[in-house]
Amino acid sequence: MSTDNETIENFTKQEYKWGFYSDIDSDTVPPGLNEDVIRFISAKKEEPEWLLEWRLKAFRKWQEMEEPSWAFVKYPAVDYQDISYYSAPKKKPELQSLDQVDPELLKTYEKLGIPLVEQKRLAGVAVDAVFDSVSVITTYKEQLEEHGIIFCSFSEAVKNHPELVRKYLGSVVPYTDNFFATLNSAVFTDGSFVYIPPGVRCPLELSTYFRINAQNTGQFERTLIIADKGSYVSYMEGCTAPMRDENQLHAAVVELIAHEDAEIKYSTIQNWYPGDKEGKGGIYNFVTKRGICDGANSKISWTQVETGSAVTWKYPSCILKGENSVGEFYSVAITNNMQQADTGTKMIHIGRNTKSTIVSKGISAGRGQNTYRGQVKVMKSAENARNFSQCDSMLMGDKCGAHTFPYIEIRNPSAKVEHEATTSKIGEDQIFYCNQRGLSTEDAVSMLVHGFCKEIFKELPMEFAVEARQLLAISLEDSVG
Amino acid sequence: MNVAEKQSELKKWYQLNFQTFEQSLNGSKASPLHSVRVKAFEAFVKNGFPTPRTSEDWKYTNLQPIVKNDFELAAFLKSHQVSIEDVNKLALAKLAGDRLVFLDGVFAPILSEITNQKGLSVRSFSDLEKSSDKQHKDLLSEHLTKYVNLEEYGVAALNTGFVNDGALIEIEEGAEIEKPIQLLFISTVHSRPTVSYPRVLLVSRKDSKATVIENYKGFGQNTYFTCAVTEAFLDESADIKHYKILEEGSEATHYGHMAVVQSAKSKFSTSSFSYSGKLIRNEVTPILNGEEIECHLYGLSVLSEEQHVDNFTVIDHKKPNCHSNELYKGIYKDKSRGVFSGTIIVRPDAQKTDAIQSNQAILLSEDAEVDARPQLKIWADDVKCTHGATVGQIDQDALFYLRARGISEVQAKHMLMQAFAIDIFQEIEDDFLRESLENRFLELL
Repeated sequence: MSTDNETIENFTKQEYKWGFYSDIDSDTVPPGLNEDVIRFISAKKEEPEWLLEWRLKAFRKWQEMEEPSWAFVKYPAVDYQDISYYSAPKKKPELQSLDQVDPELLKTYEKLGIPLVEQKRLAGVAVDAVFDSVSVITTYKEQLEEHGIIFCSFSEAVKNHPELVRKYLGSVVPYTDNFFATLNSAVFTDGSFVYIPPGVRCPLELSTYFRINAQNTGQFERTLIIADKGSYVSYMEGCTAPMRDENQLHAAVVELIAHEDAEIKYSTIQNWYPGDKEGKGGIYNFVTKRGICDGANSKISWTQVETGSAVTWKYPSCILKGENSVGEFYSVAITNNMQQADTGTKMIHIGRNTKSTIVSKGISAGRGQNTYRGQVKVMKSAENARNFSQCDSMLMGDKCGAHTFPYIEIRNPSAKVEHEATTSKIGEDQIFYCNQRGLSTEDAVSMLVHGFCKEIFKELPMEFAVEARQLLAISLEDSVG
Repeated sequence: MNVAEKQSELKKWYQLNFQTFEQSLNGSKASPLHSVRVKAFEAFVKNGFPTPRTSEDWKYTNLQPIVKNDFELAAFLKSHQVSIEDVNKLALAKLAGDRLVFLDGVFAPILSEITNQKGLSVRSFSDLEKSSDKQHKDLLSEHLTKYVNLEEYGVAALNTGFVNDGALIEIEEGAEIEKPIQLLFISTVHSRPTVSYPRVLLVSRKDSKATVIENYKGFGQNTYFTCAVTEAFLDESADIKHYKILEEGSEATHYGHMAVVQSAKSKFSTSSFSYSGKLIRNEVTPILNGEEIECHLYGLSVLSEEQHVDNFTVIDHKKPNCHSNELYKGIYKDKSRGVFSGTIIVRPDAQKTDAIQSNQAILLSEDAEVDARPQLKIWADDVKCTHGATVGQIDQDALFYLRARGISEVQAKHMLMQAFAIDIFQEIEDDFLRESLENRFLELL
């Protein structure tokens, strides 16, 4: 009898091995991915049933998918069961003064010309009362609300504007799209949501910087921007300051929808940790970005400056569905040391008189590998479609590589498509010329590179352009011997 | 049947074919070709036919619907008789010089003409096999399959698996062969779908110079598959001009692979003219394995109906100071489809490389399609590489200009298309060859 009791006792003492629902108050799920984890994330975020269903559909699809291997990048395999898919924002230990910050980081800030107060904010130092960022942000928020613009975190949007989210989520990047986008659809934690009402020209450059409540959105970010009829918005993502992050894998999804006569301008500066000189510990940035020009005369413009990450895999694309719609892609990608970038765009011409422009500048230094991969597709319906592509590569040093893989598919004879690509190095005579006029070699290189990228920088919003220029110089430091 | 099953069915068919073929060569097991065949066939079986799903290099061209035919080895079947008159019609008859004729890949001595030009030896593999010419036998076994990458190009491996006859061309050191060497490959008429495996091996010694023309002609509307491989080796300062003319039958599939290895200071140029055939795939893969090499690739396609041409090139710059130049042009009518995929590789060693690539297409119909995949893979910093691709219609302004001067629309269009193709034709040195190719081009418009 006593043995029976013991057995029962032992049994009841035993912890429940197979789930962690008992753990619902905790902030982090153990590493691994299964349907329970997804239910947990969804419950934690108090999401409606349809969104959970959507996530689960994506997860089931993802299980059948294989990680793509076609990109011109090499990296050790990612163990998707070794990642924790949910952790609530952790409070970083607050530092008391800048003296406690990594001096390397401070040096970079200085070179970028970031104001002292700003430096403190970035480094996580407690900001004194004089610089009240919260009040600044509140002022902006009021201004936006006046115009009826919705700009909030993704979770807020799910709660406050479910009809909009439900209508547009996955409409440009379906949950079945590709390995990383599908993974994101299953497990995304937060991101940004923007809605510009008809006829409104957004008075500000929207930036994640002003969105205080969405810090630490983590590795699976989701952005959705909708520009209704006749509206305009310029959105800036990222920042020039180096970003360190514990999460190695980043798989974000960005969806843009431009209705009739609307215009979306999306600018990115990405400077995530690229790893040390041997390439250890850098971030993998596997992003799916796509916009649809849904209505006539709409326009989507992507501008990106990619200087960070160990591995970048990113193709911001435009689906030109509306008549006379315009797609643009301007990109500067720099790879130094062991960095690898496989980036480019897709322009899918569906509507009549659609136009697209691609200007891509790749700079490889050290042992960096830089790849442009793009597609221009003119469908049968796209009467008088026009595309111009230019992909230029610059090589610095004899151990780096620059590669170009454009795909051109034309199904309509009235299309006019041009593609040009060049590869060159900084001429010794150019540097010599600058040296002669008293410029150091470093300054000369920076100047020449800047000239090479000028076309892209002029597309950036002013604030970004100035910083981007500095960033370029820093990224290429020590690359000329 | 799913894709995998289809693939294995297909492999079985070719395996069966291979066994029958090997058995038919009774007593030739001692031949050096035997081991070459067995090895190559293994390479083919390992990978099977490439599909757009399994290979990025075959993204826009699918062999599956074509190769599903139970092609029988044409050389085994009784074929339609080909007379010397037929040959004269099909060949570039006025072209003086050596002419080797192959019927379904098998050498036809009666129809051929060998003029014994000084410094040149042209032999068919089958002839060589029977002769006691040890020197050339050794040459064949030394060089055959040395230049083609059978692991990478599975269909070329299939050809090699069935290699039996072909043309061996050797140009001696310092020899300048004045008259062009013409290789005429005729696919004869059969009642069943057939396959043939033409093969060419060209060895040009130091400082030699020659012009080689490969002329592929089909006779009728029967379904057949020509699977051809040409290997060329250019020793130092050799200078080879190569032309490939494709006028295959309307139901024919042509796969041609040209593997070229160039030594220092050599000059190589090839021009392909894709004039007819249901599906054509032209692969050219020069390896620039020395300094100061020149390599030129040209191609012109004029397609109509549901024809499909895929020009696939890979230029591999291995050493410094080389120059490569590529120019492919196409005019597409009806439901035809043109594919261009050109890769330029510049290895870390190949500093001061100068590589130019250009691909231009004109679409003349609502239903025509063009796909281009110009690629650069560059690992050296001091290089100049450019590629350009354009797709468009006939320039309406130019057309209007001509029409305003009283030229009929049809004629004006012809003039503009002639102008479009002129840079390909002007590269042809031989007047007769240029004229006959240009005339054929105008007929096709």
